[in-house]
Amino acid sequence: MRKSLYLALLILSLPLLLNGQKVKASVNKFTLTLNDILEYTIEISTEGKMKVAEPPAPSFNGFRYNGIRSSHVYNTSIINGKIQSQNVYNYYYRYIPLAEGKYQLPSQKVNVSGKSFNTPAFEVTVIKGVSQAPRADREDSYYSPWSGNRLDGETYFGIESERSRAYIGQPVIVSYYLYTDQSVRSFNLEDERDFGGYGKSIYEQPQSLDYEVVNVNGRRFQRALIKRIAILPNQAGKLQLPELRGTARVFNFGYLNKEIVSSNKYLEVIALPAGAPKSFLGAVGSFQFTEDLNTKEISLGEAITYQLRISGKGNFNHFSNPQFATSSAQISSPVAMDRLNAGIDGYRKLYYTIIPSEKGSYALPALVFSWFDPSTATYKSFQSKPATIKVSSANVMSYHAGLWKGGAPKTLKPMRLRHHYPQQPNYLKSWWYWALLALIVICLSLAIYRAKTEKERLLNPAKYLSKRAGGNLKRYLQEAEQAAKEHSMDFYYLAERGFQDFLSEKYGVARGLSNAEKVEFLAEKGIPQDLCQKTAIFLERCALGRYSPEALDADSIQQDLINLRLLAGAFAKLNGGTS
Amino acid sequence: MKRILLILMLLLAFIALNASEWEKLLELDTSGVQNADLYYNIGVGYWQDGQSGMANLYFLRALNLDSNHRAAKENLEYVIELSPDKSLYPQRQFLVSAFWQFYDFLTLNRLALISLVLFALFAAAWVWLLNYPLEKERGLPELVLGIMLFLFLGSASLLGIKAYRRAYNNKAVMISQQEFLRQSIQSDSEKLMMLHEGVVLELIRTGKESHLVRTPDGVKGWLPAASIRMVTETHTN
Repeated sequence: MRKSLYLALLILSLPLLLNGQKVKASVNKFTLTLNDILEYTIEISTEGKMKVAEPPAPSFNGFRYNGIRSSHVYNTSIINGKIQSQNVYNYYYRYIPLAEGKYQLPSQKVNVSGKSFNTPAFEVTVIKGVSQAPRADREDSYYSPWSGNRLDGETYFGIESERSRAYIGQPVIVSYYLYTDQSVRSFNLEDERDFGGYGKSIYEQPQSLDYEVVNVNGRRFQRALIKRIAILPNQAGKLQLPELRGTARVFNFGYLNKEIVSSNKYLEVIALPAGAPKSFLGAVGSFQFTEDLNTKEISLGEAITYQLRISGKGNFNHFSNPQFATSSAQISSPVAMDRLNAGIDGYRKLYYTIIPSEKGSYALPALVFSWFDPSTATYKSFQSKPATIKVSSANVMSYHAGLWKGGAPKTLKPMRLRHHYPQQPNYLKSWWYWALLALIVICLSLAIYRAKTEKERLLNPAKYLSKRAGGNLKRYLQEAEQAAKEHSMDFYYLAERGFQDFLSEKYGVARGLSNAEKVEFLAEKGIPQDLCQKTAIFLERCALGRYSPEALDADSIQQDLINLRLLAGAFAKLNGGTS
Repeated sequence: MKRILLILMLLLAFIALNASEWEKLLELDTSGVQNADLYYNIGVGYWQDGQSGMANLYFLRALNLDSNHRAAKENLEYVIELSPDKSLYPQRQFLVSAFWQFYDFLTLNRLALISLVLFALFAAAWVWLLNYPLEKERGLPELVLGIMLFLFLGSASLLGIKAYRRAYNNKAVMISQQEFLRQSIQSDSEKLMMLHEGVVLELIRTGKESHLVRTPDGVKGWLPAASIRMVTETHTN
C-alpha cells in the first residue's frame, strides 16, 4: 500500500520535475559552402538554479569538429508578485564541412540532471561556393579540448579502482586514465612501480590513445585509457596501488614531452573471516559450476571422464584444483583448460580420468569445492552430484584395447622445450637421396652388363669373339671413314689393319699369311665364294694404296670406302648383325 | 605419480604464462617453418587457451609431418576422448590398430631410407644371381632376389602412398564451437547432426561458402567453410 502511494506520488510529480527543463538544438545554416562554418547549438534551459554539465561534442559525418564555445544567461523576473528565475545554457559546436553533398545531422541524446532529452535531426546541404578563398582553419581556443595552442593546460593520470575495499584474494580492477585538456598525441608508458602485498595481471592495455570527453569538476577534459590492471591482494592492510610513470607528447607548434606520474592511491584489504571449510583451497570470487560425466556404463579396464566447469570472476590462478576423495578407482589429477581474461574472468574446465578397478557398481566419490564469496562475505561450497557407474566384465576387445593402449593418455602432455625449430627435412626432396638412388641404378646397370658379357664369354666363346671382332671392325671402319673424308692415303692402312684384325679375331686368320692364303683360309671356313673374291680384291686395293699411292686418286678412295662398307655389311650379315 | 602430474601441471602453467614464447611459436608458424615439435607445442598452447579445435588441427599437422610423433598422437587422442563427438569415432579392431601403429611408425623419411636400402639389397641380390656359378643350384639367390623385390616394392608403394597423403592430406578440423552438418549446400537445408569443436573430418569437396565433409562415422554433409580448417592449406579436390 505504501509502495503504491509512493509510486502514485512519483508519477504525479514527474511533470513537475520535468517542468522547466528544456533542451533545444539548432544550426546556423541549412545550406552552406565549403568555406563556411557550421554552428550546431544546444540550448539547455532550466527554471531555478541547476548545475548543467556540458554535453559532449556530437560527431557528424562529412564535418570536422573545430571547437566549442558556450554562454550562460540567468534571468530573474517577477510576474504577478511571483519571482521566477531561468537559466539558459548555450553550447555552440563549430564544424568545418569536408565535401559537397547532403548530410544528416542525427538526433543527439542530452542528459540533464540524470534525465535524457533528444534533440531533433537536421539535414544540411554543402555546396562548393562562389570563391575558394583560403579558409582560416583556426580552432576555437576558447574551449576546444583538441586545441593545440594552450600552454597552460593540464595533463595527469587519473586512477579508478573498482572498489576501495577488498578481501584477500578478491580481484580488483584498477584503471589508469590519461586526463588532458591539451593536445596529447601520444603517450609512452615507461615504468610501473609496485609496492607489494598483491599480485597483478594486465586486464586491458589499448595500443593507442582512444579519447572520450569527460567533465572533471565542471572542467572539460578528454581522457584515454592507458592500462587496466587486475590486482589480487595477498595481505591485509592498506595497500598502495601500482604507480605508473610515462611521457606524454604534447603538440604545441611542435612537440613537447611532459613527464607524468600517477598519484598515490590505496586499497584497503581485509582478511578472510574465520570458519573456512576444510575443502577451501583459497578460491575467492563469484563462481558457478557445471559438471558432466561422459558415460555411466563401461567395461572393466576402460576409463570415464568427469568434467567440472568453474566459471565466474575470481582468483583462478591462486587456488588449487579440487581432488576427488580416495576411492577404489584410479583417479587422475585434473587436467585444466582455461579460457580466462587476466586470470580472473572466464572459466576453467577440469577433466578427471577415472578407471574403476573392480566390476560391479562404482559410486563416484564426492568432489567438494569451497570458496569465499565477497559479495555475501560467506564461504560457499559446491558438491558434485552422486553418480553410480556400472562396470561390466572386461570383454576380449576391451582386454586387447587395454593391452594396446597400455600407455593411453590420461592427461595432456605438456609442451616440449625446444630452443630452436629447424625445418623438418624431407629426404624425398633432398638431392643426396636421389643421387644415391642414381648411383645404385648405375652400379646395377654396369654390374648387369658385365655379368651378361662374362656369361656370354663362358657359355659361347666363339660368339663372344665374333661380337668383339665386329666391334673392332666397326671401330676401324670409323677411323678409315674419317681418313677417306680427308682424302688421306692413310685410309688404306687403317682399312687393311681393321679388316685384318677382324678376320684374325673372328676366323683365326693369321696375320703373317699372304692375301691369297687369307682368302683360301676364309673359303675353308665356309665363307661364300663371292665374298672371298671381294675380300681378295679389297685387300689388293689396300696393298696398292699403301705401296703405290700415286696410282690412286681421291675418287678411288671414295669408291674403296663404299666397297669396304659393303664388305663389312656382308660379313655382318654372316654374323647375325654385329655391325 | 601424482607428484609427477603436479610437476607437469606446474610446467604447463609456467609455459602458458610465457606469452612471449607463445608469440614466438606463432611467428615461426606464420613464417613457414615446418616442424612437428613446433606444431605440437602450438597445439598444446591452443588447448591451454581453450581452443580444442585449433589444438587438434595442430596435433594433426604435427602428425602429418611426423606420423610417429607420439606426444601429438596421444594429445589428439586425449582431446578426442574429452570431445562430445567421441562416439563418432569407430573403435578399431586389434589387428587394424596394430597395422596402423606400424604404419604410423614408418614415417616418410624412415620409409624413404628403408626403400633405398631395400633397393640396394635388391640390386645386390640381382648381381649375386647374375654372377652365381652356372654349375650351382640357383634356388637360394633366386629366393633372396624374390624376397628383396617383394620387400622393396612393398616399401616403395607405402612410400608413394605416404608421400601422397602428406601432400594431399584431406583431413580437416572444426574450429567453431558447434555447427549443424547439413544435407546440402543450402544453409537452410535439412540438419543431419550437430558437430562440436575439435571433431576431425575428411574433406571431400571445397566450396566458396560451404565444404562437403565426411564425419568419423562416415556421414557426409555440408559445413560452413569458416567453421573448419584444413590440415594442409593447399588441398586439392
